[in-house]
Amino acid sequence: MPSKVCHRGIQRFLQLKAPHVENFELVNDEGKTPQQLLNEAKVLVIGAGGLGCEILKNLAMSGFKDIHVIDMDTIDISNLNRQFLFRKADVGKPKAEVAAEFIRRRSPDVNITAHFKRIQEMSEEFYLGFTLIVCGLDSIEARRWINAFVCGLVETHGFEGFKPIVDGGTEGFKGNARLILPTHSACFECGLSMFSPKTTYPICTIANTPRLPEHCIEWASVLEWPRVFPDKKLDGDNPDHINWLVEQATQRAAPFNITGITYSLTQGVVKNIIPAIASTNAIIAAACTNEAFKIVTSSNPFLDNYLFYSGDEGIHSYTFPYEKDPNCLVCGNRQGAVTMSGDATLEELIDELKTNLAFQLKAPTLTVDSTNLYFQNPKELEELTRPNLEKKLSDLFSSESTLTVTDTTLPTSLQVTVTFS
Amino acid sequence: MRPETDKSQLYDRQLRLWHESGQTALENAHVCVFGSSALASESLKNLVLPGIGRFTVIDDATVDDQDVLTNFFVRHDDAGKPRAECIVAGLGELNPDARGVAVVRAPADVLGSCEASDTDLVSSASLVMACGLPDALVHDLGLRCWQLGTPLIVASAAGFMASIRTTVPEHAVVESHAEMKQDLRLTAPFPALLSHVDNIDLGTLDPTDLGHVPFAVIIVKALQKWAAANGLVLGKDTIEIPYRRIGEVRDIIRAMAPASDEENFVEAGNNLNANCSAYEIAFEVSQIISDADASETPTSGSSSDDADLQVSPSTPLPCDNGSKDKFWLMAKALRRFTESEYSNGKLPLSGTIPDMKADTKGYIALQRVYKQKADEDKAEFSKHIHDVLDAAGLPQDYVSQAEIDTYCKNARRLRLLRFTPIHTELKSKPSNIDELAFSEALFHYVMFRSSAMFFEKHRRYPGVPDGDKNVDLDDLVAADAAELETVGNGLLVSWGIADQTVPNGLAAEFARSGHDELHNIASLSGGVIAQEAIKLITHQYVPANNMCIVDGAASKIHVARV
Repeated sequence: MPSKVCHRGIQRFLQLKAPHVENFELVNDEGKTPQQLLNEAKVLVIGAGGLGCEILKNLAMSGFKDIHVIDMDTIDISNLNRQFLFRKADVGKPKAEVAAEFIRRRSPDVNITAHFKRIQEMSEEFYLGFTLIVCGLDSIEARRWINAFVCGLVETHGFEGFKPIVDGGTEGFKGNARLILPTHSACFECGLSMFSPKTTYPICTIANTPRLPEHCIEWASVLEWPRVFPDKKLDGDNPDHINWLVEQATQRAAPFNITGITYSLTQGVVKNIIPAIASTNAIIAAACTNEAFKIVTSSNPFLDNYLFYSGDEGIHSYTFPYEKDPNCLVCGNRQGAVTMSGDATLEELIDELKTNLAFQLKAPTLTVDSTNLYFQNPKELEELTRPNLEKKLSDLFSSESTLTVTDTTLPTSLQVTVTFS
Repeated sequence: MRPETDKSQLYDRQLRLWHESGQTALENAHVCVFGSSALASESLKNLVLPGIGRFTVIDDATVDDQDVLTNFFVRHDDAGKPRAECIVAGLGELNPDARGVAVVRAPADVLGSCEASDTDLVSSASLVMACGLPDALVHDLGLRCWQLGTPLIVASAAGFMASIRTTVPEHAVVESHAEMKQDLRLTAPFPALLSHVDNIDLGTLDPTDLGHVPFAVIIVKALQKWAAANGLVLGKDTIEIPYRRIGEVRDIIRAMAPASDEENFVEAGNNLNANCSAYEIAFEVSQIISDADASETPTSGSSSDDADLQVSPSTPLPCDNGSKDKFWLMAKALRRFTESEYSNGKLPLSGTIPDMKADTKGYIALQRVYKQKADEDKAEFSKHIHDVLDAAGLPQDYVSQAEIDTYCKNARRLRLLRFTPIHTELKSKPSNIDELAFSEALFHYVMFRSSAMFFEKHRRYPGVPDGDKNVDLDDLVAADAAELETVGNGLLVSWGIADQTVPNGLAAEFARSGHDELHNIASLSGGVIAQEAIKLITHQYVPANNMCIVDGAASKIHVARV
């Protein structure tokens, strides 16, 4: 056990009576003091980016001694305006490893372990080993996956599988921090409809009636790139690729008198870039770590359950209990429902599951009873089921059938009842 | 086409928020910080990373074992060294473009000095920060900054609690990025828009072309019909459709649609609510226009009876600096513009329109109509600004074309903030006591003031053992909390808020902290401070007026005006 003591200010909160905590005890049911609980807590930080760097620093400076960090990403030059554990010489290296090494050097008494991995690659045992999880992710997909996975742990392992999640997110001067107590309070999926998916433009607009520079950029990236380079994947971080798009989009725009195509806009559209600054990350990451500290030490009551912050026009901040959704696909009754015409095709149903705010799926695979309706992969099954995409729903199953839907965004399958209108 | 420098890549994620103009302002800024605790270094971190030009840290504290545990930017082998130097070195590693200087002297010493090199530290600063200074020094610094017209952010933290207070006599914002409804002027169309709409005859269009008419054109057509039915003429009379009668226009649109689900007609229906009221200049902008500074007769005094814009008479406005001067010169021109026959009481048109379901030709043609009108407005506005510059004896190029463009484009988003001074507040009571009395931040503010008063009296903060006395800490905290609560309730009475008392446990929470900074709360506050500093330095987005309280115990952040 690391011997180093905590900062005097922290020790006061571990040892003195807490006026806002009911039944404050200096020793808990298991005979442990807040200091022991803090020393023994094993925390998983998901994401070593803008929020992750801050969270790692804050945990280390708050007295946590056993920290793991997982991130599949490598360092890009555009990270350096906020991801302060990285330097120019680190560009291209794994974020998790460089961040962990920095913290290790700064605070040698902290035991920090890096995982240059995808969250989906780690085993159930790995996740079961933690006291709590702090998420600093920008990807909705990854947040949905980990939320569903951790909510699932409670089901399979009971109390042993109960891992509170502290989740943070930012955009520009705005951000939010929330505390998810799996199965007890609203989970990430309960609030999914608050996140609108990436702006997409209808293909017919892109192809026939462009009006905005964005339409011309989409024309270049979605239609022209695959046509000209069928075997090359478009890389939003490759300046040669972006420059090619800028040229194509500019040529496309000229006869329509559309202006405003720049390198920055093109990269922004292609990569769906969200503005990010150090200060907002600092606010949200510290709000998250503050909750982690309170949960472990019981030094003050924890967040119930959602904190919103906006610094655009003055400061606006609200703390409120986000309601649990009884129909939540992850922690509720999991009954997804879609109403569509029986004349609609299976492809239209799949599009609905992708765009409907309650689902926002990526690439769903559908079965009904034991019939395979559509499989995204493997290739053989995709080819076998592809003809179904054109078929009317009423020719494939009857109204009020319950389909089993699997998707990469969720670790388990969904039950979706389709009613014909 | 390739980004010309590393900088556009390095700063890509923030340039999308404040663009080149904001970045240049940051790179030209000098931030002067009194104090070098975690609160100071965490705030500076968020300014050094985005590329602040220069920063100066003033403090004579030396690094002790507690600093190493709470201040991320000092190292284990720094113990005994000047803390200001250590954090300047640590922060410097984050961004070689930000130049930091440490002044290893007591803040009181620097503030009390009349040497030019010392007074320059404050007078050359774009923004000053005070982290954890005692009230007496905050008073002196507050007075000095107020007289200079320099923004000052005063911050202190005690355990889970922090207070962030901004003060500057006046802060003007052109690029406020405020979210506003679209400026399409459909109820008051300008002649070119009206003739553009009149040249489109919906009756002659086939269903495909009908499905490509932009919604703005559809709404103007519908409003024309509605006006005619009510004995009015669109473009001549003031058209204002009461909320309960919007359905009538909706019905007109429905009757014009070739099919009920034609997307552009559906879009017209969806945009109806936002486009049915009469043209109106936003309250904030009309206040700026009518403000004495913009008025032709500056001796008439304040024309505003709104408490928001009142500045205490004891605190005259300081001399304007260059950029503010321009703001007011242009406000004067804006006033002349809106009062002219040409504009008929309207602001310059911004000229940008939202995307609309339409074919390319129809949309671009409409976009041109708006753009052309915006250019005409800008030319007209330019005449007024040139007159104003002439009258002020200033050269015509004193205000650049780019500045005129930005001003016109953002005319409907202009913001002016007036703050209250902190030096008078510390001597007497908060300027906005009536407003503060209803704020959730009231008691936190009272506790910070009471802690400072406790310190003045005992030369130690509540909950901190006096010297080496061997007291039971829980007993000391309880005794100090009781005294703190009494002081706080006394303040409330003296401010005339006798019906409220400090809530149970809050004084104990303050005393429990021993006024020590927790890293987490310092970091959270440093984020808030840096956001506010960036807004004040770039003159983009809108700073909070004028206090933010971080309550990490209740997981809440409050904003109030003191």
